Amino acid sequence: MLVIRRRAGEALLIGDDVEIEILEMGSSQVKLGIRAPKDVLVLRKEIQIAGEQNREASKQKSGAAVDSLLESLKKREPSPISPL
Amino acid sequence: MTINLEFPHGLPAFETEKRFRLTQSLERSPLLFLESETTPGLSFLLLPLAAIDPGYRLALSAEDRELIRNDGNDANLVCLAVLTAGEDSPPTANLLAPVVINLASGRAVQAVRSDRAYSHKHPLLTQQAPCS
Repeated sequence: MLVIRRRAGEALLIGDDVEIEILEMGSSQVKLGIRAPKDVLVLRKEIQIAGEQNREASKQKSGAAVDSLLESLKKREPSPISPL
Repeated sequence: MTINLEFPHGLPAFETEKRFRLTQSLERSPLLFLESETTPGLSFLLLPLAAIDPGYRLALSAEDRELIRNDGNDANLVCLAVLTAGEDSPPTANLLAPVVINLASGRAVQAVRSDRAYSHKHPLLTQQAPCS
């Protein structure tokens, strides 16, 4: 991984078209400004992870797999659950 | 019991899916089923967060609260985790991105956390020692 030290107000370039500027630096967060062509997808990494996980979770589940999961859940410590 | 939900921004990777049915049946409790109203066969298995981690600390951004029209009254919120239950791998729950429902508005959001406090592959079933 390339590591670069930058201060607020400084920027870096990725390729010819993408510029990332350090706008603000707080004690626990950094505010970034990103200039990129409209066809370049800019995504928070956790959104990508959630999307991949959703794709996996959406795969067809057989009735047997659901029943097996239910059986396993029932063997756990009981929890008071009735959200609806 | 079934309730209809609106996800104004869809779900990550399913951004165009905005209307879902959430179903809970006695036979399959505590599991819940979230089914798309527009795409047949698109569904998710969920469990209440409280059943997975009773100490879970919800982190709902101001934008997400506005999206589901929540004024800060958490009594109307239902928090669920999306499950991945593959045939070949042990089931996991996504605690990184819980589904948060505002029962008062019928709106919901998958609230993706920015911190690293929780895993997107939280093991659902803890392994027990075969013998002691």
